[in-house]
Amino acid sequence: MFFGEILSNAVDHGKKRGFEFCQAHIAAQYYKKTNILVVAIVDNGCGLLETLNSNAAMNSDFTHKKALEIALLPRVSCNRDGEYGLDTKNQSIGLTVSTEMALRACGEFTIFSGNALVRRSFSSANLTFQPLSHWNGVGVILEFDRRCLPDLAKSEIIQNLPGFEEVSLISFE
Amino acid sequence: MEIDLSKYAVHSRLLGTRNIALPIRDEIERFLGHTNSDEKIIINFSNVNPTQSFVDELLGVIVLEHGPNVLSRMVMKNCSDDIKSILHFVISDRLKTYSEKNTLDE
Repeated sequence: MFFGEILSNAVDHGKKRGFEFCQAHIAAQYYKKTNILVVAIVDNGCGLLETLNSNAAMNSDFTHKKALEIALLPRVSCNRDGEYGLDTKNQSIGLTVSTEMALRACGEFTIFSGNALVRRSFSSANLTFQPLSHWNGVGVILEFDRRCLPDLAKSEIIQNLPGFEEVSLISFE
Repeated sequence: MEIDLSKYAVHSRLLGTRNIALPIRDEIERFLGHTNSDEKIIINFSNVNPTQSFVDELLGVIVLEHGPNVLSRMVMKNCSDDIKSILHFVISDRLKTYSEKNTLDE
């Protein structure tokens, strides 16, 4: 549930853009002494800039750094391929929710793509950008303090996203 | 009729990509097109972890095509709080788009 969206995006976006053989790898390590759980997902696909370069939020700043910045905003990291579905708009919340979960679990996240890297810790209000030599694809590293994980509620994060509304017409059993 | 989504989560509980949803959506569309309006389809989310993309491809597209009334023919079964949040998020977004689209068409 945490990472499914990131994993599926990693492969889907690359394959739709001609990266037929792109792969996503996931690795996890738990550090017992510090109670830190680290999960890393990396792919060798098209990268965020290629995915987002037609997005209006790029504001003509076609850099990997800008792509990283807007990929973290809900409803901005849009899948505009139009291959599936009746229209091309996607709600795009996977990266937003996953990174927010890391911050709420007293952890941090790092995302890199192309020649840029962005990092944020729960103790900081700001994103920190760094240059990177180059990675053709996207890497996402999420760190969680295991002691905070039981208190995490993904549903609460989704309910706090902009535009969230409960639909009374949905029947649950 | 009941659709058990766990049948489609072959290797794990994850229902991640949009293309997994396509044959299931076809099945729902066939049901909606060939049954009386008082018959309901149950979508069973037991033992699966669907992503927002999957839910959007499965149900968001149907809502966008048919509008809010189609929801009266569907019942969501065994949904965790996380799944319920995803359903509300996706379907409310598609209902807004449906409403905007129909306002423009008028």
